[in-house]
Amino acid sequence: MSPPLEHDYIGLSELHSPAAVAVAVGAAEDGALNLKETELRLGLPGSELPDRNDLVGSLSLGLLPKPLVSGAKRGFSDAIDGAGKWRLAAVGGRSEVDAGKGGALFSPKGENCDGQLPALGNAGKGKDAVAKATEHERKAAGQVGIANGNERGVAPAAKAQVVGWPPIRNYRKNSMATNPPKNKEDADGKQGSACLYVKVSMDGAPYLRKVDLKMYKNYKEFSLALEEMFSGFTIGQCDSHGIPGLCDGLADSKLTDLLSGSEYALTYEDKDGDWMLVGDVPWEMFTDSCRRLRIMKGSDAIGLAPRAMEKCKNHN
Amino acid sequence: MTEDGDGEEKDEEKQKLSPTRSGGGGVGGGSSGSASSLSKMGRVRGGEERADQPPPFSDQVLENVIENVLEFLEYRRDRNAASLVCRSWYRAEAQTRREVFIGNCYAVSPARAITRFRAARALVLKGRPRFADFNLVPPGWGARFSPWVAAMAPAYPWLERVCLKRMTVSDADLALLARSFPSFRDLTLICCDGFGTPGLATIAELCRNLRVLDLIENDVEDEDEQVADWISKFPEATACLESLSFECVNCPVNFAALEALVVRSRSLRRLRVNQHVSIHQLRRLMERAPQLTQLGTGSFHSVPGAAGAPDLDVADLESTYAASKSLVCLSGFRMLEHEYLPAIFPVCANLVSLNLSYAMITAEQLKPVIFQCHNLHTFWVLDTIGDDGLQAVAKSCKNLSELRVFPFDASEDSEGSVSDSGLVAISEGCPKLRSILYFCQRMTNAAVMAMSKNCPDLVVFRLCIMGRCRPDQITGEPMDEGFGAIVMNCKKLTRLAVSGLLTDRVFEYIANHGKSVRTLSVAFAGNTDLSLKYILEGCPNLQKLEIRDSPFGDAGLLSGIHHFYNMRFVWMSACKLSSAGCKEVARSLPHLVVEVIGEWSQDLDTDAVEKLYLYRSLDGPREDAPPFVKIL
Repeated sequence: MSPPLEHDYIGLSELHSPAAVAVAVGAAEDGALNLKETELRLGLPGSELPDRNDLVGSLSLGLLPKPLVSGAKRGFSDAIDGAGKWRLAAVGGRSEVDAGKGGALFSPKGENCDGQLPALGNAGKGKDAVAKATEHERKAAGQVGIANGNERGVAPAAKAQVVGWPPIRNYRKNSMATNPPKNKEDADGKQGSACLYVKVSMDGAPYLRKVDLKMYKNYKEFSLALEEMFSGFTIGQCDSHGIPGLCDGLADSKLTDLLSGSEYALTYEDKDGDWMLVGDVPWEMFTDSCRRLRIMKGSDAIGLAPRAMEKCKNHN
Repeated sequence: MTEDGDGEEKDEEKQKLSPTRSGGGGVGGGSSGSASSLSKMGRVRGGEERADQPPPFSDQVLENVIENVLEFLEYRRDRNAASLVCRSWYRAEAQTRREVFIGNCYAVSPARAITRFRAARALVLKGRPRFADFNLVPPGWGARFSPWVAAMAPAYPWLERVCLKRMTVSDADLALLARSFPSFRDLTLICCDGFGTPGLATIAELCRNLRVLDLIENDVEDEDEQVADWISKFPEATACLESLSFECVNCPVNFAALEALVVRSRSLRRLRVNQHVSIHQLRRLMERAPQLTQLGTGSFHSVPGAAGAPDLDVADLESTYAASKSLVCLSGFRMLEHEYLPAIFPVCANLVSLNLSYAMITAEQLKPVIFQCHNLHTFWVLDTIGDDGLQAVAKSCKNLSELRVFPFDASEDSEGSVSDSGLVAISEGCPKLRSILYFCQRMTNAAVMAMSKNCPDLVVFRLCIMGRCRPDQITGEPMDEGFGAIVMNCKKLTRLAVSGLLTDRVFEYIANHGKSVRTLSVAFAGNTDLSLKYILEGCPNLQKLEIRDSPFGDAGLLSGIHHFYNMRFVWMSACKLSSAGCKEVARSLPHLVVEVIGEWSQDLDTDAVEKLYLYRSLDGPREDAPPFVKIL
């Protein structure tokens, strides 16, 4: 077995060479890189999360420029061919609901999608297609997360959430979300509006983001979304490192590039005000107690990350 | 309640933007001679440099007289009109304007506003576009209060009032505000962010004359260590508080300090507490302040086993309410225990405004309350009351003027409790209805038409059919005819929000009949550019246009070139715009700021325009644009 690759907490394997990167893009299987073996998973030690191999391709979702769009999406688009419209919508259009808007470089606004756009042109039908294939936009960049849901054989939701629709202010959404549904039985057992925005800060980023925890079903979707959201920060730095080749559409995660050599840890502040490492508790418990998130780097994270690495060793 | 009161807005200073004025703003008149003749009229002009010649003596007298007359003008529109008469009136009006309203903080620079209106005592400032409330504007876009407060600090020593909406206000800004204006009395922040309890603490501590502190739906964030006990910072001497609203401040407050503050503030009329105030505590506050006219009840929930306090008897609470004879406005109910709801019966008959929109109550729980509220003008509620509850409202509240029905489950495929029959019931029972915001899952043209006929006084009609592009529930047709009827029959309509399946037709109706429409919100509607063309060519009073996810392209946008200077803003996101079209607009209209907004700066290099926000400005493109905003 090849030596365990250095990785970050999110579970992305470090892919140092372009060749390795290309392999990662091209192949759904991890092959010689043993990605599965070495990747860190979020979860209780010993718990087996679903296979992430086919997600490797998707990891590059946020990072490829237009020419590689179709290739990059192969990872999960294969799996959801049944929901072909999803791909159409993901690639086409400039809708807020467009899944393709997720990544920083992944903006197939032009060439790839125009041919397909007319398919969505018809008002009723097209809107249905878009609606069916709608994903949450990058703010809670769950489109990859929901795609993952698809590839596990879950049919795409009839209408997944759209950013800012219905037009309810966050203040109201958050107020309703935190209220215990006392009269649940009276209210026909409906859940409160599923939305819980928390701030996400990353050390070194110029500004914070907000993410809706209720958009995700598990840590995996969530971590992918976060990676989407924050990979943008690393792109500039990649350029400044003088490796434009790497930025130019190789299917590596920019986050992992930057993280090579440094350690990041994803932490959250819980209801008691303590900072905890993300991943210890079940997802439901996490969304209930999480108030705020912070991606810590450097020395702050040293105490936390090695523990995560140990978890990984357990998997080996 | 002041949530989202855009419907009642008036124009902003339109003449500030007319091209002829662009070079001449802020020039004053008069000379030292006029200063002395004015002083006996109680006006003091500080040392001001005038660029032009002083007018001859008789003009000076006229100007003084005009100033005295213009002092009585209150409404912005009147003032704007008066300032257009001639230079003399312009100067006079500028000297007498007390409240400066700036509907878009980037339309004019702080320096220019301050130079023109030297005697302002109040500033109302609005920042981000409304769609920022729905996460369509990336954080960090702008609208900071800092440059404004920094400019005002030396210029407006007598500043008394600031009202901000959708702006970013930092704790440092609040501190500067508190320190710079000794007469400061009134701070209202609506949908703002960027500050925390430390900023509030500074305001409480330093603003000795504070009368109003209204924090409405702000995003108050605190770093862990920095939560400040701001309530206790109100000095003992401060006893002139008239209004205190802090529902959006999410941390518990020092109740003892709050109670003491309420006790000594004999002028307190409006108190809205946050959900950390239990019903026991609320009762104590009410007993200390029976003179309250507006009350935000906080949680309306008992904390189980709180400090050994016995459970509050509903009858006791009811007697407390009975003692609050002046209460006309109730809100809060953030975690309502519905057993306690009957406690408000004694005040129902006097209620003019009731906000139950955070309370999940059923029709059966609502009825005993609403059947006593005969004087209700404003009612906000959750759709959990269903059509049945709405019928009860219609039966009882004959004077209802504003209704807002919010969704309990704000998703597109939820079942939905209110429908077309609720809307019809309201229209039949409340003919005086002027403003409605209605979230539903299904609707019919017939119901909307019925409302248009039964409620001809409608000024604000906002219908949100939560399922995108949903047609008429019964006929399967687009919702064009319903909204068309609204614009045809409701001649006073100024604000309209459309939803459901809509074709170009509805926009033709709006263009032909909606001549008074000033604000239009469009989402997932229309077929072609014709829609946009109709609106921009047909609605002369259109000022605020916000569109999302509709297939409108450059041709439509360009048809508005003749009108954009008359508008406050246009927002278009997820439409079919390209940078070529937007650049053309920017080229044709030099005083228009055309912003293309992306999520990241890389997004801006493409040809397609994801988000467009354009607005007129006297001072050109702003300098604080973040990297993800490109100004064409």
